[in-house]
Order: sequence, then C-alpha cells, then structure tokens
Amino acid sequence: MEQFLFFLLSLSAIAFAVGVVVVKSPMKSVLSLLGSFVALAMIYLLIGFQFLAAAQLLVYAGAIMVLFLFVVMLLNLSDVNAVFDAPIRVLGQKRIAIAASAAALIGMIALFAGGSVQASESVGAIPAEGYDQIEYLGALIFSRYMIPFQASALLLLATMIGVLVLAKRRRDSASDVNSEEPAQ
Amino acid sequence: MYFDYLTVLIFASVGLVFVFANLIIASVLRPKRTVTEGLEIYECGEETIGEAWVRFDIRYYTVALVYVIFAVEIAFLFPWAIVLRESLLGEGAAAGLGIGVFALVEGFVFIAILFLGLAYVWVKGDLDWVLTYSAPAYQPPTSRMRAIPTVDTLEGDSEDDSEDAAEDTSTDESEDAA
Amino acid sequence: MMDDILPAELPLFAVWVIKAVVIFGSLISAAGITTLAERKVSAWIQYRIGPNRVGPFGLLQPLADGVKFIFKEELVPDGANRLMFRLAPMITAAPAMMCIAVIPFAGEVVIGNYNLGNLSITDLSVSVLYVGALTGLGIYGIILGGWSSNSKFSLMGAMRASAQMVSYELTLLLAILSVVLLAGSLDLRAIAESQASSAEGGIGVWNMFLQPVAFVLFIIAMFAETNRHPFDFAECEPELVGGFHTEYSSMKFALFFLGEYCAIIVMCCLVTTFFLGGYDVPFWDSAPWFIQLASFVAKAACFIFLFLWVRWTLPRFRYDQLMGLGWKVMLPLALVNVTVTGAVVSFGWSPLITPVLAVAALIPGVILFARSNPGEASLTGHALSEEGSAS
Repeated sequence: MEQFLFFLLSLSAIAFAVGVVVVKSPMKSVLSLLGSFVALAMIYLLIGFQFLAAAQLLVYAGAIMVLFLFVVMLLNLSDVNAVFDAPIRVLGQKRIAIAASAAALIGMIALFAGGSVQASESVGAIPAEGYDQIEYLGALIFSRYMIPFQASALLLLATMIGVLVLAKRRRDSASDVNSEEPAQ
Repeated sequence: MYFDYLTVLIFASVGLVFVFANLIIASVLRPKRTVTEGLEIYECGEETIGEAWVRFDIRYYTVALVYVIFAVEIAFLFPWAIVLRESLLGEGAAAGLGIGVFALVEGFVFIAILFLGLAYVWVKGDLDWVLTYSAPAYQPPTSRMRAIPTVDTLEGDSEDDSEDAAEDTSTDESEDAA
Repeated sequence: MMDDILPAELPLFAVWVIKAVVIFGSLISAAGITTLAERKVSAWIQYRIGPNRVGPFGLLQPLADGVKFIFKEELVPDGANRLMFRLAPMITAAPAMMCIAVIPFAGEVVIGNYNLGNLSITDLSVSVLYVGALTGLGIYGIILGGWSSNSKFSLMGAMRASAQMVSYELTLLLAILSVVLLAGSLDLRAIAESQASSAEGGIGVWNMFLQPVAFVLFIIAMFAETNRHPFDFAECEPELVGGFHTEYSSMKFALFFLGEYCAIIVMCCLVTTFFLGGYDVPFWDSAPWFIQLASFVAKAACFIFLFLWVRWTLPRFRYDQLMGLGWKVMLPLALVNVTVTGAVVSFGWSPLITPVLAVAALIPGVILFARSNPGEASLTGHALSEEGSAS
C-alpha cells in the first residue's frame, strides 16, 4: 500500500514537473508546478514528516505559487508566442537543457549504483506522532540552529527589499514615461 | 499516523464521489442547445472588445511578495509557539535546557526583523492602494463658502444671467437695509 | 434480536466510512440550510417574507435550487480556457470541504453498544497546520475561475479576491497562533479541551475572553477570507456583475456556491473551536456527546447568523480601505498580540492577564494610528504625492 502510494505520488510529481517545462501556457505551467508541490507534500506525509508537508503546502503551494501566478498576470500573456519565437531558440537552449538534465540523471544513478549513497537501514514503522515531533523541531531551531534561523530572517528581509527596489525602479521609469506625455 | 490521514482520504473520496456524481447527472439531464448567443462573454450587453487577459498592476506582485515573507515567518512561529510552553513544563529540557525565555527573545528578534520588511514597504508607500492616479491630487475647497456665488463674482458676470442675480442682490440689500 | 444480526464490534473501516458519509452529508445539508437561512434572514431584516412556496415555510427551497441547477444549460464562453474552466469549481470547493475533516464536533460517540470514537473525521496532532495549509489553497480556484473565463469582470473579481485573501490570511493565521500559544498544542481537539473547566491546569475560560484581540481579528479576517460582506469585492454586484463566477452556470456555478458556503461553515466551526471552547458545555463537564454536539452546532450557528446579519448592516468597504486595514492595522495588531501572548506564556504568568497586557500594548498603536488619520492618508498617500510632484 505504502509502496503503491509512493510510486503513484512520485510518478505524478514527476509528470507534473515535466508538464511545467513542456506546457506552453505559463498559467498551465504554474498549475503543473502546484500539482507537483502537492504531490511532494503528500510524499513527505507518507514518510512521516507532517510539519514539512504542512510547510510545503503553506509556503510553497500557498504563497510562492500565488506569487508566480501574479507574475504571470503581470506578464502580457498575448506575448507568450513571441517569446517562443524569439531568436533565443537559435542558441539551442532546449538541447543544452536536455543534455544537462540527462547528465544530472546519469550522475545520480551512478551515485546510487556505486553505493556512495545508501538508504538508511534503521527506518522502521512510522511513529504515531510522525517523525517530526514539533516540540523537538522547535527546541532544535531555537537552540542549536539559532544562528541559521536568524540568518534566514535576514535573508528574507534582504530578498524582499531587493526585489521591491528592483520592481519599483522599473515602475518609476515607466511612470516617468507616462508623466511626460501629458506635459507635452 | 497513517490511519489519521487514511480517514481524511476516505472523507475526500466521499466528497469526490458526491461532486462527480452531481456533475455527471447534470451533464446527462441538462438541455444541450447550440444557441451561440449564450456563449458570448457577458459584458452587460455590449460586444466584447479584445481579450480579458491584460497586464495587471505590480502592486499585486508586491502584496504577494510580502505575503510570502510572512507565510514563511508564520511557518516558523508554529514550532516557536509550542516550544514556549513545552520548555516551561520541563519536557524541553531534554533538547535544550530552559530555553523558554531564550526562545522568546529569539522569536521577538525574528518578528522584529520581518516587521522591518513590512515597515519598509509601508514607508515606501507600496501598501497604499491608490497609486496610478497620475493627475495632481484633488484639493478640497478650503472653505465651503467659496462654492456659493458672492456679490462680487455676480457683479463681475456677463449680462445674460445677471438679472436674477441682480434681483437677489437687491433683495439682500433691502433686507440688510430693513 | 439486533445483537444477533449486528457484530459485537464494528470494524474500524466501517466506522470511518460511516463517519465520512455522515459528516460530509451534514456539511452539504448545512450549506443548503445556510443558503435558505441567508434568504430568510435577509427577508426578515428587510421586512419581507422570503421563500415560502416550496414545502412548509419554504424549507425545501435548497432542494429545489439543487434540482434547478442540475437542469440548467451549461455554457462555456467563447475563448475560455476549457480545461481550467472545468477544473476551477472543483479546486474551489475541495479545500473548504477538506477542512471540516479535522474539526472536533463532540467527544466520544456511544450509540447502544457501539463506541464510534471521537466525533470528527480525524484528530491530527498538527491539525492547525492542516487548516492553515488548506485555507492557503482555496485561492487557486478563484484565480483560475476568473482567469479562464476570458471575461473582464471575472478576471478583475479574481484578482481582487486573491489579493484580499492573501492579505487577510496572515492575520487569520496569527490569530490562530496566539490561541496555539495559550493551548500549547496544534491539535484542534486539545485546543478545544484546554478551554473546558475540566482541563488539567486549565482555568476553564474560553479563549474569547483570554484573547479578545485575536478573537476580533479572527472574525474580521474570517469575513475577508470568505469574501463576504463587507469585504465581498470578489463579486460586488454594482461593479463586477458576479465577479469571478460571472460566466459560470449550471452545476459548475453550484459548486462555486457550495464551496463558498462550506467555507463559511468551516470558518464558523473554526472560530467556535478556537475561541468558544468547541463542544464544551459550560458548567457541565461530563455532558453526553449529543449535548456536546448541540452545543457546538448552536455556537457555530450564532456565527453563521453573524455573517448574514453583517451583510445587511454594514456597507461595503472601498478596496484601498480594505488593503489598508489588512496590512496597516490588522497585521501589526496581530503581531503585537502574538508577542504579548508569547511573553505571558513564556514567563509562566496567568493567562488571565493576557487581555490586559494586549490592550495596554495596543493603546499607543491605536493613538498613533488615530493621529495619522488613515482615511486621508490612503487617498493622498506617500507615493501619490511623489508622483504629483514629479508631474
């Protein structure tokens, strides 16, 4: 049962992930990515990480995908075909991407086959509380991993301000163009 | 733990069966006409011009960005909320000795750092929703009396509409005299 | 006689299926009853009669509506994105319905010889996170429905609704967080039981009184999350016709409708669990399960009535006021409330002083806010004056 669910979820996660790249409409791409994230969250649940699954849904599926959707809305969707016809294809990026991912896949298979990455033997039945008892998780975050935790807060702050500065610079230049028109 | 989620799965499948049964029943029973008027986009009787897929404002993006930051913060605050209580009961002593107040301070710092982000957005005016208003700001009249015609402006007016005004001013003057 | 036919103990799987069917059926019936109640209460407030033709007092009106939906012609507008247009109603309805699975309606159910366990689909140890994750997903159906219709009304309604839901979800989660701080658990049943007078170490006071700030914030955010008056910008009729579901008809519209009312019911159940002690019956600790269930339903019904009452009492907000309220007032208030509650819990003070401290911490903020005159600021704001001076 667990094996079956795992393969089902993994396959759907991979299928959705392939869909992200293959589908032409950016809206459908975002939805595919959402499907992939939900399947991933369920895989986390299957191996007993409840907090991770919830965080995956809350942060990635709930928040970051909304951001992506808004970005898609921000783009002019009628120009999508123009993007596909752009001379950037001349660079053969599709072929490079396929080659790179194939190389990564072969590398991973080689790692697993070579025995340098091994599955943990000690994994038994999943405890009723899941693996991530949230008290221990919290205790670890707020004692041993205190500095990475605060660093993540700073990183988030820097990201937000950086993105806003970039976005606002674009908007200011755009509004300058607009404001010049009525003056003339 | 599996059993907890298995029941959720059963519940979800009951819901799916209900929804799809309704959709299938409706698709069998409902009339199928090929009247094309009904397929037009509703725009209060006007004919639609162009597609609806237009470029949206960047403010939506800003809002979503701030939301992402705070969603991450809240995801971290849930373990924080549990730790504060646990360490009091002494159970957290196994993982970190008496981290209650320590975690509290850490949580405060965390919230404060991210609140800085909100404050930045706030001060920069990205939370003000009325932005694309490019005309000069509306200046409300400084006093209500300015809207009402005074004697001076009426006297300065052209002849054609000053008759009634002249009567008004005369009555005003007579009243004043009386 | 019955004992001979029925097994001495129901198999576990049968119990699960029975619970799932009963609770799902109750949810759908409750949604139907809420639609009727909405029309009846509206009529009552406006001094009309309301639906009274179908069945006694119009009680069968929801059924008639359902049948009508089934027989309606289905339209997929020209130029719509067909796949997403079909998918959107289901994506909207699913998260709202799934949320009900973790709500504890009552304690142990014993019927005759059978012990069916606690009355809820499941009791997760992290059910608060489950709720938080699912409410975040509710937004996609609305965006998709609006986007795939190829209608301007739909798209604008969807964008407004999504930005609004995103803004208020933070406040909702922070209000929940302050309750979690007091209860020290992420389990909804544990949170409900921690407010009962029989709770170990508890003081038997509902969180409504211990967390008045979080309670008010939660209620306001809950109206915004469900796109109800006075925050119903997703479908405000004078501006956007039907909002994101302008182009929908037949069963697909019914699904949107159902999802909306299920979301309202879920929110009412949540506020009952978090702030009103859930199925706790005041001064009666060992109440039988049906009394507990009745207590829960009565509390939730009060909030459903509040939804309907507010609809005919308050005028609709302006959109900039809505965003200003969400980001500039409610989010900072919720953060302050969480920090104050955290301090109380961490220092081991009595939770009874939380409301005092929270209100004391809020007073400077409120004074500052009142002096900044937010109504004016949002109209002639910072960026506006910048642009004005540039041009």
